[in-house]
Amino acid sequence: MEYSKIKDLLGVYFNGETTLEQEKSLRIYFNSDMVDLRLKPYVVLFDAYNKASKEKYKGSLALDKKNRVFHLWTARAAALVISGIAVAAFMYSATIKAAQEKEALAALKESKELMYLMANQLNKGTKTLSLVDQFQVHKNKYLK
Amino acid sequence: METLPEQQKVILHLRDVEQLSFSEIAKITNTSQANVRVSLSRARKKIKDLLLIQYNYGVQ
Repeated sequence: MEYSKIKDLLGVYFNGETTLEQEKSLRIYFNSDMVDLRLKPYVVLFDAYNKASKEKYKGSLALDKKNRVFHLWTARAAALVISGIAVAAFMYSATIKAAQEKEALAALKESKELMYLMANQLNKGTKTLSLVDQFQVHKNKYLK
Repeated sequence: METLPEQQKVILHLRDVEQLSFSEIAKITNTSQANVRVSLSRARKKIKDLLLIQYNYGVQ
């Protein structure tokens, strides 16, 4: 789906006005590999929901789909589970970000060293040129 | 997420994880559908703000 469409849909989603069908399409989009870079921050959120959603079918929190019986205490417990998963997702994204920053710093350090080496080489070259110049001056003096 | 009020956490869970309709959530939480929508919107906006802070500045 196009970036602008998803962005608009996200706006509606954050206003709490999306239908279940629209929310499903958002989940499908954010759990795919086609997410636009500008929307990357939201991947963590939908990933957390996806994991929590899978988790609920494994344990005792499974919803009785036939009767739609769902007690408030179950919802509270489930909310705790989703909180835990979301916190883990936040920490995971922070770890990735820290690793990326570390990589960027290492690259910066490497570039600095490279620049230093290049500057050294340039200085050597300049020195050599000045020696050549001096040689040329002296040579011209004696070989006129 | 921990900073969300209990009601908002429950509604967010029922909608985004359990994928229940507004009427079902209203029945479970013993509130009106309008209240459900307002709580859901507030919860999602808080999460959005947290996500953007997290993404832009790392762990707070």
